[in-house]
Amino acid sequence: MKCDLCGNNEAKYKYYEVDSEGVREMNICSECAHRKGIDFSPRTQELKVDNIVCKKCNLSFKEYKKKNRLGCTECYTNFRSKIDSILLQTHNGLIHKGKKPVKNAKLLSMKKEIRELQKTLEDFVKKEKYEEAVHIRDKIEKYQEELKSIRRNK
Amino acid sequence: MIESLNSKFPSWISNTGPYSDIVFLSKVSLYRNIEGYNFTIRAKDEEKSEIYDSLTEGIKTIKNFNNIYPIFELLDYEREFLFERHFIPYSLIQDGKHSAVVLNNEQNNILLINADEHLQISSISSGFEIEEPYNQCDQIDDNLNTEFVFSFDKKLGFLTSSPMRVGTGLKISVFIYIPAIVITGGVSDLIGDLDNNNFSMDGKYIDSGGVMGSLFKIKNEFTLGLSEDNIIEKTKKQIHDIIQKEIDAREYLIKNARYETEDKIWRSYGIITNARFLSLGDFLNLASAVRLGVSLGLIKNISILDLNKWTIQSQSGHLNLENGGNLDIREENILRAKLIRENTGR
Repeated sequence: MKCDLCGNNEAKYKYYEVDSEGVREMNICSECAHRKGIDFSPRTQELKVDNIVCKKCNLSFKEYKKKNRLGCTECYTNFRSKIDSILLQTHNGLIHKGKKPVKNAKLLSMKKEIRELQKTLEDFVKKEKYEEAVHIRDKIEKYQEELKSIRRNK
Repeated sequence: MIESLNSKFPSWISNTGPYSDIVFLSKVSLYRNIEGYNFTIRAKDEEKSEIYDSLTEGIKTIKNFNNIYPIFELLDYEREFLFERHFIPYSLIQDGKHSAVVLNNEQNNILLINADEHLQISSISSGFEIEEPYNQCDQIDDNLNTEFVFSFDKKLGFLTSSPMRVGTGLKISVFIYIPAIVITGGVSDLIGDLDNNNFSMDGKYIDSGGVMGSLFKIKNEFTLGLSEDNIIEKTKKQIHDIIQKEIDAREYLIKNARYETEDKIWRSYGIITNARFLSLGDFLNLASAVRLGVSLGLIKNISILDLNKWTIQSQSGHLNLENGGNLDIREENILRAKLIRENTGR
C-alpha cells in the first residue's frame, strides 16, 4: 500500500487525523511520519506485539485480540508480557491460590484396582462364596479410605 | 431421543430454593482442558474428535452421567431446547460439531464437551444456592481428574483459552429478577457498582427494546488469585447486597406508589391469564410483574414454581419439541398463551 500523503513510498503506519468533520484514517510512510513530527513509538510497539506468533499453535496476538481466546497452553508463555497486564485488570494478582489437580498416577492405578476388585466381589457373590466376598469387600473399603485420604491431602 | 428430557423437569425447575421469588437459579461451572491438545478454538478436527472420544469414554466411569446428547445429531429446535435449559451455550446452536452434553438423571449436573473449553463441569440449583452446586462440581472434577490430566500451571493454575477463566476456572452465574430496581431507575448504578468489583451483569432475555422481564445474569469475572472459597464468599456477598437492594426498592414502591404498583401487577395478571396471543417478550414482562405480585403476597393462585416452569416451557425450543416442531412465530404465540390459560384454569 502506498503512502496517502506522498504517494511514493510504502505506507508503514496507520495515522488518524481528527478535525471538525470527524476522524480520517490514513496510511503513511516513515518519511512523511517523520516530517509531520509524529511519535509512533507506542503504536509501533503495539504493531510489533500484534505480530508475535505462538511457536506452538501459530496464533498471532492480533488473532487473539479478535476473539479474546488463546490457542494453546504455550500462548500463556509466548504472550507473557501482554497476558500479564490483561490478567491484572480482572483478577486478584497473578498467582493461583485455588485447588490443585489430584496426584494423578497413583489415584489412577488405585481406582482401576478398586474397579477390578468390585468385579471379583460380584463374582464371589454370584457364586455364593460369601467368606471370600467379605474379604474382598474389606479390601475395597481399605482402598477407598486410602483414596479419600489422598484426595484430602491434595 | 431428546423427548425424554421434555417429559421430565430438571430438579432445579421442579423445586424452589432460597430467595426463589427474587433469584431464579444459580449455576456453578468449572472449566478444564485436557493436557497435550490445543484449545478448542485452535484444535484441528482430528484433535477435537480425539478429545470427544476420550472424554465420552472417561465419563462413563463416573456415576450417574447416563444421558449423552451429541449436539451434531440434533435438530435446530432441539439445540434451542438445550440452550433454554441452560445446558449448552448459544454458540453450540450454530456449530455443534464434535460437541456433546452429558446429563445426570436429575438434569442438575452437566458436562459439556468441546464447547468454550474442552470440558465444562456445571451444576445448577434452584434459587440462590452456591455451595451445593460448587460441591457437586468439585466432586465431579476430582473424579474426572483421576481419568484425565488437565492443563495446569503451578503459577497460573488451570489453563483456559480465555484468560478470564484461568486459575480456578470457576464461574458462578446467578439469574436474578430485579423489577423494583428497574422501575426505580437503579440499574445503571448497579452495573457500575458490579463492574468496579469485577462482576458482569447482562440481561438474560434481550430484544431491541432492552432487557425483557427484568431478569439479569450476574457473573464473577475474576477467577485467579483467590481460592474457590474466597470467590464463593465474595460472590455470595455481592448477590446478597443486590437482593437487599431489590427488597428495599420494593418497600419504597409500596410506600410511595402503592396503587400504581398494584395496578401494574393486577393488569399483568389479567392479561397473562386471558390473552390469546403472547409473544415471548410480552410473556416475560407480564410474568415478571406477576412474580412481584406473588412475592408481595397479592397473587395467591399462582406460585413461583409455576412461573419458573412457564418461563422455561414458553420458549421456542420447548414449544417446538412439545408440538412436533416447525412452528412459526404466530403459532408459538398462540401456544404460549394457551399454556398459561390451561395452567390457570381459564
